[in-house]
Formats: sequence, C-alpha cells, structure tokens
Amino acid sequence: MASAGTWLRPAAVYALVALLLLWTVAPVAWIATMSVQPEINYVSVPPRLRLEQTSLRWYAATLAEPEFVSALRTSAIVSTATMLLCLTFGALAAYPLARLNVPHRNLYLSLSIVARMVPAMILIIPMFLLLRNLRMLDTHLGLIVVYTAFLLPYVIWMLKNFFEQVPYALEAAARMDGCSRLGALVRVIIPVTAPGVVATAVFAFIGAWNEFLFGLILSTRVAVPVTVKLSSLVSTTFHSDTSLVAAAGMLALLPPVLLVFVLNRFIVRGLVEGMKY
Amino acid sequence: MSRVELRGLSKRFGPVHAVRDVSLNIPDHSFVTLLGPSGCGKTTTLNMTAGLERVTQGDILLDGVAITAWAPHERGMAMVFQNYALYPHMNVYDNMAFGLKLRKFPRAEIDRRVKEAARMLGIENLLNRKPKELSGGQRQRVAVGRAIVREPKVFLMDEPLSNLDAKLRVQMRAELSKLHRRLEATVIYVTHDQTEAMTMGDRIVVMKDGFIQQVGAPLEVYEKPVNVFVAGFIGSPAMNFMEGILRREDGQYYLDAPPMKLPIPPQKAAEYRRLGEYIDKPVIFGIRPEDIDDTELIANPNPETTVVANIEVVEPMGSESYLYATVGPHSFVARVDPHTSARDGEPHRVTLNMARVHLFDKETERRIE
Repeated sequence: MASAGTWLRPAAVYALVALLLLWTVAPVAWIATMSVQPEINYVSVPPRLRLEQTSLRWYAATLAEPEFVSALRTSAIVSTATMLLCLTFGALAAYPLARLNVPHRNLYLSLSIVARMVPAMILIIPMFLLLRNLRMLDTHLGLIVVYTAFLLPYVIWMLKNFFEQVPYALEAAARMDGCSRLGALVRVIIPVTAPGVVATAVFAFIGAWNEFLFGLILSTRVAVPVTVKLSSLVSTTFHSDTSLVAAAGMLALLPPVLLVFVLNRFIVRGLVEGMKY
Repeated sequence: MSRVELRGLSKRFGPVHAVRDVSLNIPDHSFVTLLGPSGCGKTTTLNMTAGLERVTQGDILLDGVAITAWAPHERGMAMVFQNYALYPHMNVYDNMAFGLKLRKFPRAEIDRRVKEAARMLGIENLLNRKPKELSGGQRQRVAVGRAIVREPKVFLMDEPLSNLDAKLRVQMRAELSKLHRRLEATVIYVTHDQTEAMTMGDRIVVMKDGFIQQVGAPLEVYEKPVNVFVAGFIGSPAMNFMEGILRREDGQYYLDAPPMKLPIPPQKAAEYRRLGEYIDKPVIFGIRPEDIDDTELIANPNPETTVVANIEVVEPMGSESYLYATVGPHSFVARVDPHTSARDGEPHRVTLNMARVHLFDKETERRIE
C-alpha cells in the first residue's frame, strides 16, 4: 500500500493541475480556434475543423474596423495611465503606511478596502452623476480617474506589504547617504522591491483592461474601452460572423497576455518567492 | 574637526522611555563605544545622533552647532549597520559611490575615492560584484568602504561586527581600530560586546534602561565600576558578587560572609572614603575571576583570605582554566593557571586577592564612595 501511496499523491496532484488548466485554458483555446476557422466548421455538431481552411482574415477584418481599433487604443491609454497613477499614488500612500508612525494606520487601511466592498452597481449612478457634473463622461480621463479610484486600495495594500519587507537599515543607509525619504523610496525601496512593484503594476493594468461595467455606463462613443466594444460587436457590426467576434476577443486578450509574458520572471518572483536581501 | 555633544537627550516611543537624559561629550578624533545589553537605548541614541530618529527632548551639537532638527544627510555623518544594509540592486562600486553621486561629486573624484577606499580595505577585485555574491566579511568591508568614501565628520557604527563569525570578528576589530587611527575620524560605536568596547574604544559609555551608567576609559571602567551593573557587565567571565556584613575590629575592616571572614587591606579600605558608614551593615562585594587564585600555584598565599572551595566544574580553556566553585552559600568563578590540580566535585584551596575587592552599597547597588 505504501508504494501505491507514493505515486498516487503526485498523480492526483498532476490530475488536479491538468483539470485546472483545462478549465482555464480550454475556453481560450476554443476562441482561438474559432478566430481562425469559418463559422460553419465549429457550429456544426460535431465540429469539423479543417486545417486547410485556417485563415487570419477575420483578424484582418477586425483590425480594419476603425471603431474597434479606437477601442483598443482607448483601453491601452486608459489602462496604462491607470497603472501609472496607481503606482505613483499607491507607492506614496503605501510607504508611510509601511514605514512611518501614522496615527490610525489600520483604520485607513480598513476604510480603503471597505470602499471596495460596496458593489459597483450601487456606485455607478453617483459616479455617472459625478462625472457628468465634471464634464468627464465619455472621456479617457473620466475612466482613468474612476479605475484608479477603484484599483488604488488593492495597490496600496500590495505595495505596503512589499515595502514592509525591506529592512529598515537599507532605507536608513540611503538616508545617511543623502536621500530624502522620497529619494530613499524612489532610489532604493522601489528598485529593491521591483518584482513586487511590477506584479502590482500588472495587476493594476489587467484590472483596468478587463473592466466592463463602468466603461459601459460612463462612455458612449469617444472613450469606449475594448471590453465594451466587444459586447456591442456581438450584437451589431459583426452579428453575421462569430469568427469576427472571436478574432476581436483574441485581439483584446493579447495586450495583458503579452504583458504577463514579458514580465513573467518578475511577477513570479514578486508573488511567490518573496524578497531576498 | 568634529566634536559631538549630546545634551539631555531623551527619546520616548509611546509609553516606552528608550533614552533618558543622556548627556555626552565626544571629542574630536575619539573612538567612543556605547555599550549595554539589548534594549538599553544605545542604538536609539546612535540613531538620534544620525538623524534617523527624532529627538523627544534635548539637543545634539556638532562642533558647537545645534543639528538636532537636521536631516540625516545634512549632518555629514556616515553609518555602518549591523546587517551591512548594502543596496542589493547595485554592485559594490555603485554601493560605495551612491552617496557621492547624490552629492553631485565629479565622476573622477568619485572614482578616485572609491578605488582608494577599496584598496585600503582589500576589496578592489570585488567592485563589480553584487552584494549577494559576497561573503559576510566582504559585505562588512563594503559597508565600511561606503562610509569611508564619504569622508564624513563622524562615523557611526551600529554593532558592525556582530554578524561575523568569531575569527573574522577579531580580525575586523583590529582593522577598524587601525582604520580609526589612519582616518583620524571621530567614531561612535555601538556594541553589546564588552570585549569590543574594551579593545577598541578610547572611552566606554555603559548604558542600561536608557540611562548612562558610567563614562570612562576602558581600564577606568574596568577598575572602578560605579555600580554592580557595570561591574558585572564588563569583564569576562563576569565579576563575582557575594554578600557580607562589613565589620571593623581593632581598626581592621573585615567582610563577614560566613563561612568566610575576609580582611580588607588598609590601603584598599582607604580608597573608600565613606566605608565607616557601612560598619555592621550588609554590603555587596565583588571580586573578578582573575583575582581568585589557586593557592597551590601562587607564592606566599595569604592564609587569611584562603578558603576551601567546593569545585563544581573545571573548564580548561587552554591558556587558563575556569573553576566554578562554591563556599557555603556563595558561588564564584576563578580564572586560574591551566596547571591547576583542581578536579570536578573535589574541595580545593583558593585565595582571594582582597586588595582588588570592589565594595557596593546593598540597597543602591552603587559603589561605596
């Protein structure tokens, strides 16, 4: 029995991992397949995929659609700006919470996360009115401000935890060497916690990129993010061809996937390994 | 010129009083060690001097100028930390050059200083390495180098040797002393290791519970500790303390500590001006391990101060042996010649050198004046 146990355990673990992979990857793989095959091939039962009919023409058609390209651009601008703002304000908020003797520190931290516990649906009408009064409806800036407000609490929490791991002496050394507190943050603490900061940045970027609800309500024509555009494509422009929708979906998926792929080394270190000094 | 003066320095962390009314004059070129057990306030005192910790009360003066409210980098001091605190994302060269770059020194000057310091410390071949590729001793050198290149007015060192292994520590101890002489800098050195304090400092500042207990030259503190704490903290093995009643018979002072009755030599008694006030009162007397001899191994042992002790353990150290012994209710350690015939569990005659006894008030634990 003992020998059975020795292989059973890893086998069970691998089976579970395989199942999980299937669960997460299969839908994406299916959309990827749909995006390069004529609709008839995969709507028939059972599906009949034909390698010789594989084509990128649906991608070409999608990219020829100005509204879709504009939505991609909007998402890129909004997500990048949100990420940068989140990092800037997040670092500036996380540092004192991690390092200085801030009175009621835990209260601030709790309050910041409580705001995120209110369902977005409840906040959407006040947000709409707020942005309308500020004349920021349907603008990039409007989305950036709202996304930043919603992602910032998470970013602060994440960065605070990374900053707390930096030994006090390291910062003290920087300050003795000639850094102000802000200088020590920028020149020493952030570089030293780079894996964590990068992981946090990716988190913020993906959070903004994938947002749908606020984009749907707060933007109508000019600053429509790609998530919202995708949903409207399903019902309007591309209704005739599911392959077009699949190609658009794949294109919308690409930037965050590329980002994770490029920064993978950092992210894994930041999230799993922790920091070593 | 770099004279540091601390005036009535106090630091409170909430309800905790970490440093209380510390006043200290640190002359130019001196090597002062702040010595004490952990939590005594020595590091907090250093951090306040550095500007890393805000002062609750009191003043810090550098060459007569109050710098209490100055930022760390405005004070012209450099610090070496216990865990080295090298920047892990920079190589050795950049670690050492960082402070100079921030101060916008010309490139050639930075290069000259870094290379000179590296040569002085024997780390020229490590300049391109990252801190994680260095051994503890090498990291320590880089940390010292980072301080040296700044050519600071004052070096602050926070237990810089305590993370090194014993052999390296002894070696670095000597090197730091040499470096101090060579740089003619003012050094404030924090340690809990009394050997470091004794061997390196011109002056020792012994601290406990946030208070300064005693300030003095190493031998002065060793020979004339002001209280039981200092007496016990300095010296290894620690001073032995026993209780007895002070008696005076026929003009001769005795310590009555049954079964021992130990005469105090008149010249020793004369050192204590107010000894007369303690007649027939309990006192604490302290005697260092090296002042208790194996009677067999010394010439002319004084029979009056010779006692038969029960030897519990003999610890041979090679160059000497420690005898852990008891006499009645009193227990003590004696540091004797390694050729002692004392054996575990057997009685052995030892002689107390009463000319070197230390007397303390039992109530206040202060040295009798």
